[in-house]
Amino acid sequence: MSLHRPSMRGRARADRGPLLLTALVVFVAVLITAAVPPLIDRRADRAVAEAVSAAGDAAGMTAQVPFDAETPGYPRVRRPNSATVADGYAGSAQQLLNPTLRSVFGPPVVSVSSSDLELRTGGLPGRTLRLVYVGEPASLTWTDGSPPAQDPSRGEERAGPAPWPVSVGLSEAASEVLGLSTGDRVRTEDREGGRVELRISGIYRAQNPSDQVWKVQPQLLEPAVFTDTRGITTSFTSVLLSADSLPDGRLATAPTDMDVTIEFRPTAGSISRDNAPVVIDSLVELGAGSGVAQDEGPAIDFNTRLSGVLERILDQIAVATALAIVLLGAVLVAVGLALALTADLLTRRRGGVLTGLRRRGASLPGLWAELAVESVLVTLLAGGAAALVVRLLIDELSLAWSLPVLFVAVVGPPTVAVLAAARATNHRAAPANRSARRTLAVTRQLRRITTEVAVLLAAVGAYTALSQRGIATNNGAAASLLPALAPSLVAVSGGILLLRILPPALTGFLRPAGRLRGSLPLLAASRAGATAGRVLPLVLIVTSCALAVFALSVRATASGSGPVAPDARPLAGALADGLRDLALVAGLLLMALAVLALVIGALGSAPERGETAARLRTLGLTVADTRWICLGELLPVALAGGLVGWMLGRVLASRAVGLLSLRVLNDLPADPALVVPVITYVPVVLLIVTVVLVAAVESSLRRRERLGQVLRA
Amino acid sequence: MLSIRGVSRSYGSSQVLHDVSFDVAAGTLVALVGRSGSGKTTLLNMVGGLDRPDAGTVLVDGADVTALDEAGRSRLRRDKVSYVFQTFGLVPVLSAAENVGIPLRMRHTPREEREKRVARLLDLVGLAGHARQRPDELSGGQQQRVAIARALASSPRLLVADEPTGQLDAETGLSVMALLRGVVESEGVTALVSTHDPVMMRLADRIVRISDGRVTHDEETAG
Ligand SMILES: Nc1ncnc2c1ncn2[C@@H]1O[C@H](COP(=O)(O)OP(=O)(O)OP(=O)(O)O)[C@@H](O)[C@H]1O
Ligand SMILES: [Mg+2]
Repeated sequence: MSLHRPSMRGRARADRGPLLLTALVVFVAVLITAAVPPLIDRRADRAVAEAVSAAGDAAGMTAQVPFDAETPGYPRVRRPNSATVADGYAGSAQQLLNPTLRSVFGPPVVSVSSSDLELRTGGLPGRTLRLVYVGEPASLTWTDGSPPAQDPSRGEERAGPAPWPVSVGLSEAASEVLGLSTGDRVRTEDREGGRVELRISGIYRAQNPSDQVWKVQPQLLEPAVFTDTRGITTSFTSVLLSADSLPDGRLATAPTDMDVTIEFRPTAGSISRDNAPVVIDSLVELGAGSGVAQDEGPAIDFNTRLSGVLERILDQIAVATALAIVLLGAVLVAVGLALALTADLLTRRRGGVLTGLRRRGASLPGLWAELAVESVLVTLLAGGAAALVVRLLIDELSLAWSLPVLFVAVVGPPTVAVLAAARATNHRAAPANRSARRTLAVTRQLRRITTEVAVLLAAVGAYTALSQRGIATNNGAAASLLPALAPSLVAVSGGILLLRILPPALTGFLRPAGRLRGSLPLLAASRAGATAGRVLPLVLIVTSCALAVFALSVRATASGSGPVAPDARPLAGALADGLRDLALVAGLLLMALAVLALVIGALGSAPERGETAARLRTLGLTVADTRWICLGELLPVALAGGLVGWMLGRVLASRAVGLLSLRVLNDLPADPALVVPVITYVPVVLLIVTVVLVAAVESSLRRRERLGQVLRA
Repeated sequence: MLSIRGVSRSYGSSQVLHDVSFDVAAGTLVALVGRSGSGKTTLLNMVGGLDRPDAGTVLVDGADVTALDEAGRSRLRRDKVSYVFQTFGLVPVLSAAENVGIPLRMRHTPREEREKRVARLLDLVGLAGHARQRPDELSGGQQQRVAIARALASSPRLLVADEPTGQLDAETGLSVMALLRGVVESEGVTALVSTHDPVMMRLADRIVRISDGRVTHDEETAG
């Protein structure tokens, strides 16, 4: 088994077109399959952090604690340690968090706030105030007056709220909105009509307005002001209590009017895709114990929507990942078929040479090895270049999804070629004996039917798996591969079925075409049946059209703008972009593969077509006529393949909306309506345009050639 | 009928035809003989405009073939010069009758007339019973007969056959040759046939021998 290097080089040079095409397909396929999985993975990781930060308040957790109860009937007393008590509550709340939650949430912000008070002094109604204590906000600048203090005019202990006013601070904005300044004494009323007097001790400004304290109590800095359509203004303002004036505030308001709020916020980036499930579990655990008084201390009622936020984003990631896998599967299947097709093209061009070598005694393994050297080189160069590009662009490389591409690219061409050479030189392949020929034909039919049934069964199995189990994105690619391949296998099955229907249908056209007077319909029909019977081009056209339409429709549906609930949180950010880009790239690649299939199919049938055309031209057919025959031959394949693919892709996309739970991506209550964008018609149009171009190119080449030379070949 | 005057043709540096001249009278069967590579096919291709000479003219019915454009050459082959090749060149999925009907369809012959003529031609070549068979269901000799019938369909003035018996065994070849001889008589067509076979030459009215692209011998046969 010695390799003959000069002939290998010669072959490679002679067939550099198909080899380059193979290399291009491998390059693009490896580019996509090597880059997409890590990109999706990385973006999914980031998506959790993005969703948490986008959720804002919803990602936080609050614990509400009523201030320690006063005993009814007893005279009320000033409780100078109120601030310390509130801080103590925060400590107890934090004690209740397990280590995971403690690592996720930053230190809590404690605030105490009263219920709403209506400002009665001066001005119009509609000015609501709250007394708010926020611990010791480190960074306040008092631009006027001083921080609120214990009212100097009263004694240490006293009973009853009135007539001592509560000392409060105002933000600069609040002082402007309410028209109050330092030293002003104002009257407010609670809902029951209880009077609360306030004295403005000073005006402040936040040194760091982005501090978390101000996020918890934003109206301490900026009153919320609304003007309705009639021009009536309402405002909501929080006024600041200090640790010293908080006891006065409590005493001034009704006994149950003040609550301690402990606010937890997740620190940026502390929740990832990995720990999110643990966080969810911890929150559930914590929620179970909420509202129950601890051994000593108050009943703490935890409240958060964080687990909902996390569950939603995890669901969205799962759906997005599943969709990405489906799209990758589509690319893989179509690329696999395309590589088989280029291998077939190569084999066709080399058929004579290889058969000759075989006849002269070359062994099949030897031929295989010679050809494998070439396919390994092509694959290594193209795949390596793609891998390098991926590595440079995204600084990461995982070739797991590229392996099938590389395998087919290496093994496909030599195997197809050797099988063809073996068939051509096998004497049993063309027996002279009639019954032996029939047996052979039956065997071939059986083999074909077996293959078809196997593909159909795989498609049915994959589809069933998809509809029953969905795509498990967490237990590795292997478990999810079969259901993820469902759309692709269904598309391939569609191609196989069309392959059964189209050639007989076209041959059936011979009859009516024969009834017409002219020669072109009959001649076109006679060629069309043969061309439509070529397995790989037709199957690849249908498959890649269907999957292109599928990818583009799913993309449009997933990013479609339907009625969205106001509190819905559609998947946004890099992962959503990645998914959209992937669907677009996959769609475009699949379109290109459909065109490639048609072109290679046309190249494959070109010698026969050229031969027929030459023969017919000796009978007086013009070159222009041969163009019509070429159109009539290729157009049925392009049209039928494109349209069947389009319909199949549409059906697949509409099924996928439910099966892949696309509504989750946009946080919709129900499955969205399928959106089939105009771009899905592009593959069909491209196929038609390609046929016209092929016919034009062939006839212009034909015009240049000398018929005598063609007939010699 | 056919007049070849001073035709030369070279491929690159090798000259294949050197100043070839001869005439073919209407209604005769002329055999063009010569060793392989002597230039027979090249010359026959000139006659129907499948190839063009570097110098010289080819006149069919007085009209200069070498001066025709692409459309003119198509018309020439459709109406005046028919070819029969060694490899029969039938359209595989079409029946014998459909194959024979192709030239008539190209001329938009009305259907009834076409069918009548196809039937007559198949009868003429002895294949009346095989009208509906496809080429792969016919023997080589039968396929060549279909090809001859097809070549005659458009009532050409000149039938050019390039080794029509080359792929047939001797006996079948002889019967095909006899058929050609017969149609020259019955259809009044002129035939130029290249061949290697001495037996076949005897059926011709005249033998033109070329070697290395030159006419070396030109004689009427005794027959
Ligand atoms: N395209 C070409 N380029 C170069 N040489 C050519 C070309 N076509 C034909 N020839 C040469 O022209 C010469 C004449 O060829 P031609 O086919 O006319 O011979 P022939 O008499 O028909 O031979 P045969 O009996 O084998 O058919 C041959 O030497 C052939 O090699
Ligand atoms: Mg020849």
